[in-house]
Amino acid sequence: MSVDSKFKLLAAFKHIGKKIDLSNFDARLVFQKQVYLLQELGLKLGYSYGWYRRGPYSSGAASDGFQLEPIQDDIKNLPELTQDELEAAETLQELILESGENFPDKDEAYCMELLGSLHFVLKHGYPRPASKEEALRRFQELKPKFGEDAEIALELLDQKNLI
Amino acid sequence: MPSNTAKMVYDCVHGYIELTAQELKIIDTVVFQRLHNIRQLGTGFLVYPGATHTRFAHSLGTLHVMGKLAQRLNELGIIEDDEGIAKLRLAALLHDVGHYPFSHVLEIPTKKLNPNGEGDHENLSAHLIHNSCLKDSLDTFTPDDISSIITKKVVGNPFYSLIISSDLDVDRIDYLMRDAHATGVSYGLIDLQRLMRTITFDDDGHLAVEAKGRQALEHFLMARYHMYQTVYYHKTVVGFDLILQRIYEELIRRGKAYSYEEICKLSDEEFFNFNDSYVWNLLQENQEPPLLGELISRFRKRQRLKMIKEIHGIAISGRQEPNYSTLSLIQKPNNLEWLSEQSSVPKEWIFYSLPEPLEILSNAYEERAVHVLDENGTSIPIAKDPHSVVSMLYNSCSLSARVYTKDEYEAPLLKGIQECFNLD
Repeated sequence: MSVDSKFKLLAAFKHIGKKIDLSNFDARLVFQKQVYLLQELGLKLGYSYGWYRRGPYSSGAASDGFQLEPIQDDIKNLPELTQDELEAAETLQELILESGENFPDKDEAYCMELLGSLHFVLKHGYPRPASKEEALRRFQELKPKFGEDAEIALELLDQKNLI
Repeated sequence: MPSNTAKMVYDCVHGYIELTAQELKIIDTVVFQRLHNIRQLGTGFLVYPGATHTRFAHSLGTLHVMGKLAQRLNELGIIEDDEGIAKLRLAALLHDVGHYPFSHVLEIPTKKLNPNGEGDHENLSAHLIHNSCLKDSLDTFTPDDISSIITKKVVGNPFYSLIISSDLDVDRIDYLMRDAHATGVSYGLIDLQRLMRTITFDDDGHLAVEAKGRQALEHFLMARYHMYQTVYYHKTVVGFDLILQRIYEELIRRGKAYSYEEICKLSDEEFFNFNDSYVWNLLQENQEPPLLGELISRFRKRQRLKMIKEIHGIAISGRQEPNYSTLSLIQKPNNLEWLSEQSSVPKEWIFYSLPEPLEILSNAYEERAVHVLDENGTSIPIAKDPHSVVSMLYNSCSLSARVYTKDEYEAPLLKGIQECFNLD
């Protein structure tokens, strides 16, 4: 992970008015999943994600997040993002807003774990699912707490061209 | 140990390591034999003369530890058959096959100059398993069967990821023991037997040890902490890492060293030669003055940089430690140029190191945190375990921020740091 890429992540967060918050477990989970989705939306950050109990997790993203968190307000000259990168950040913002609208009684950690984990099972998980339906079935077995919300999440991911 | 042992190899850390015919087949490939020529500790031998051990030995050691762990998981019913054990052993054997020359040192500039940001050695290992002679050596397994474990892509039971990457993973167990042995530093001694007899998983899938393994686990966590302080973050080792990284970055920019894209296209024979000797040859062939030549000469002749500033210590919730946060601003875009202007020291001669604060314990509820199962079977993160001495260190971390330059720039750069960052 280069220094430039780390600051690209910060630039993308700033573009959509987000601050890096790692103050508690849920906040860190949200950060992990949002960086994962941002990368999947096309912002090339170079983080490797693996599958853990709560879905995709990257120690590299955690490490950079911890380095950026205390100095994020002091940084003014962030790298300029390309149009595609700006759009990736904006799509993440839409995804955050729309997941909140679709699951109004759930918190952000729930929504992000659902979206991030479902996407990982579909696109990167092994064994590889043969179809969306199989991925959905597998996801619901792995994380039964999400129940039918997974179907709505699948549509959301589809609408954002993430699958 | 495997029921179909074909050969035993004597290892300085673990004693006899038993290997199956299939494992030998992999070990005999050129891509694996390359690991004989990659030092485990990168530039560490410049400070610890005995640290000339290789990724080859570490890979065999990791296989051995994984074999013990897989046996234990088999007894617990988590792994059902010999095939599951064989698969885990192969993943351990191959987990570092994509390591760069000088281990982690050259991974950093290679990733930095890759527009996609990719370049983790785990991903390179996976690439090789799919695209080199290794693919044909896996017998009944597919490349994905093995690479998915290394890259932690197996969904379902999270134990696959945890035994490869967590507070108590097989890689870490071997490298701490091996690096301690090679450097002569005594902190890395670990009660492997006790750990392997008590390791388990709780009902929620957390990696855990039974209560009777608590002390062995505590000792392991402290050993890791001391090894980082003493060996991995040694100020002189870090200084040489920084020189070599800058040299390699410049060589990639000049098209004289492999970029990540080029590495992925190497033939097996070419990849075999992409090792520490490849880098030494590059250094010999590219001593172009002024800057590159001077850096190369310094590295080859072991002429250290001067560490002129260090923020070092233990902090509680250290990320808020003011001097560390202040000095870490050096990494801000344009700040290096600013410091260079203020101090009149060429920016090429300003080196800094800001490793992640080293936590003795992962956050208690982090994915990779290790738990303790008490006598009643209740699982608790060791960081929250009232019976654990190590838990008293929860939330404390070791910080280390350093700035280096060459001797003649010491005074102006120190003055510049004081002026730019208001640090005495």
